[in-house]
Amino acid sequence: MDCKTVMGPVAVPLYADDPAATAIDFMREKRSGLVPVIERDGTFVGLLSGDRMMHFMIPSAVHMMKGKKRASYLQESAEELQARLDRLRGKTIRDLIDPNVTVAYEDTPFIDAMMLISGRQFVVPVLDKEHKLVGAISFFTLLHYLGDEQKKAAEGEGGAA
Amino acid sequence: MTGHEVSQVIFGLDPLWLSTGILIITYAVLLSERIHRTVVALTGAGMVVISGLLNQDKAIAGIDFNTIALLTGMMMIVAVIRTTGFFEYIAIWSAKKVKADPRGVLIVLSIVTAVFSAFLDNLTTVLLVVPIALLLAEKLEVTPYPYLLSQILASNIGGTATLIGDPPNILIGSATGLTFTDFLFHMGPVVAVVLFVSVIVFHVLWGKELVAEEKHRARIMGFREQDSITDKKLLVQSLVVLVAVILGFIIGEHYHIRPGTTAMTGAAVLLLVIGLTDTMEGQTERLQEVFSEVEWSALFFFMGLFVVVGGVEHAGLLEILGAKLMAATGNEPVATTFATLWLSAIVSAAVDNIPFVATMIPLVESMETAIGGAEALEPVWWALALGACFGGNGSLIGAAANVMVAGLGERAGYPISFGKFLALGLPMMLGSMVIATGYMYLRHFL
Repeated sequence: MDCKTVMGPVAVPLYADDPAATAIDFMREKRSGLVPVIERDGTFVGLLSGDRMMHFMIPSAVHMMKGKKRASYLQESAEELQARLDRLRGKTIRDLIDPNVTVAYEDTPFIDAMMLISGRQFVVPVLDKEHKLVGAISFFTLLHYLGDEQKKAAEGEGGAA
Repeated sequence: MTGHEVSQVIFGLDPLWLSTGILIITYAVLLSERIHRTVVALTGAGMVVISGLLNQDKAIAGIDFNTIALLTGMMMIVAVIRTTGFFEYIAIWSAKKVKADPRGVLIVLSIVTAVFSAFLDNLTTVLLVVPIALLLAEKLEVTPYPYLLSQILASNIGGTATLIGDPPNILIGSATGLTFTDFLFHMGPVVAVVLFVSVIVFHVLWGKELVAEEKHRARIMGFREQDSITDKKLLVQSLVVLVAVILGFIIGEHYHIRPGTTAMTGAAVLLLVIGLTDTMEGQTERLQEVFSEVEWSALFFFMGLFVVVGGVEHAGLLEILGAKLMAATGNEPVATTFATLWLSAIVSAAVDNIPFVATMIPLVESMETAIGGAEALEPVWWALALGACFGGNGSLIGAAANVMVAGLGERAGYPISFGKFLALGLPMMLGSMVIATGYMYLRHFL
């Protein structure tokens, strides 16, 4: 079984050269935590995710505090968070995407995509040979696929009966 | 089983030339910064043994395990303390004590870093204090450059004060038997003066541009420093052990307990104490965490370096150089001391001071008879330590802490160029050396 068999359709992608404000508004309106980003010619560039955006919403100095999982002493106001979000809006989407996303191709064995997801990459983009985004795989696409297969099997048995 | 005995140098080469060649090549590759310094030192060490300059037993005997144990033990203790949030607590508490005035913050953070650098290693100190300094600058909406630059200078100045503050001091202390107390009393006063003068210079240089609005200062005053402490019990345990280790350095010298033993025992006791209430699984996890924080590459760098320097020492090169230096200074203690002081500072500004000091130690040792004995040689040791430590401020590549702070600044979007640092660091280094020269003269030769 390959990725093409299981993959689901992709949500509307964003363009890498668009302002980050477009992505922020898109994520807020659609309540989407993960958006694929492509070039104008459809070539896949990376993913823009909620956790990646949250990384930028935390003061950069906090990220430098090696091994620290808490910064409870830091009391930030809504005004400060808004100011940081506004600074992000001035960037391009390309500045914010996670470029280190592992992708699969249509003929990649599905087990490899499953291993990537179990390794905490929640969505695996699926590309064609020209590196164009053609679909994506997550745990939910697997559920849908198995559900569809069960339905087909039941229909086949019903038809035969 | 004994090591592989090599009785003769490979191809009958002259040991003096061969060891000199290996040392020069090692230095040249270290200077090029193209290959990791640990790989360079280990390769050099391998060449020393394989070429027959030293056999394996002699090479291992040449490694100063007191230095290695001291560094490892302190790294392990610091690895535990840093998880408690103690450094954040002190930095924020200090900033609030000066009412979050940016100029006051600049001064107190410089003092905090200098003090921590004296009693812990200065790399760890800047790694923990600089992010807080950047955070405070961001909240105050002032330029972070004064904080970054002052942190570099303060860490090198503070590290000069004690036996454990900076690797050159560890090396010198271990080789000479000069104790923690000796370092504190000889280096402490001059470090205090240099730090005081530096803080005044920081204020003069940056005081005018470091002005923050009241609402921005209120952000800092709203920080809850007590919330930075992640584990109070662990904090108390680790601070008690740290204080005991420092006392152990002072008391141990009277009982011939070397600092390496004290530091390693302290690390073991700390792990024992915090492990008493933990499961075996928890203890294993903690041990792995602590070991992962030990800078193994630095330790192996030291080991390789000891062997390379052991090669030239064994071949007699350093004795020859020592004799030449003594001839140049006319066997005169004053001239030898000041020549060593300024040479160390200039070389340490340009290259890593660790290999330089490691090479200088046997060279200085070889001068003992010519200069008039161990007592007459003592000022030369202090000169070497002062020059090597203060010299680290002379350029951005002068000390590992400088490179570390520059890296943190770059990550935060505030790169420090070589020239920018040189414009500040070199005059500051020269100023500190003038003070050190005056101090050495007053203390040892007046």
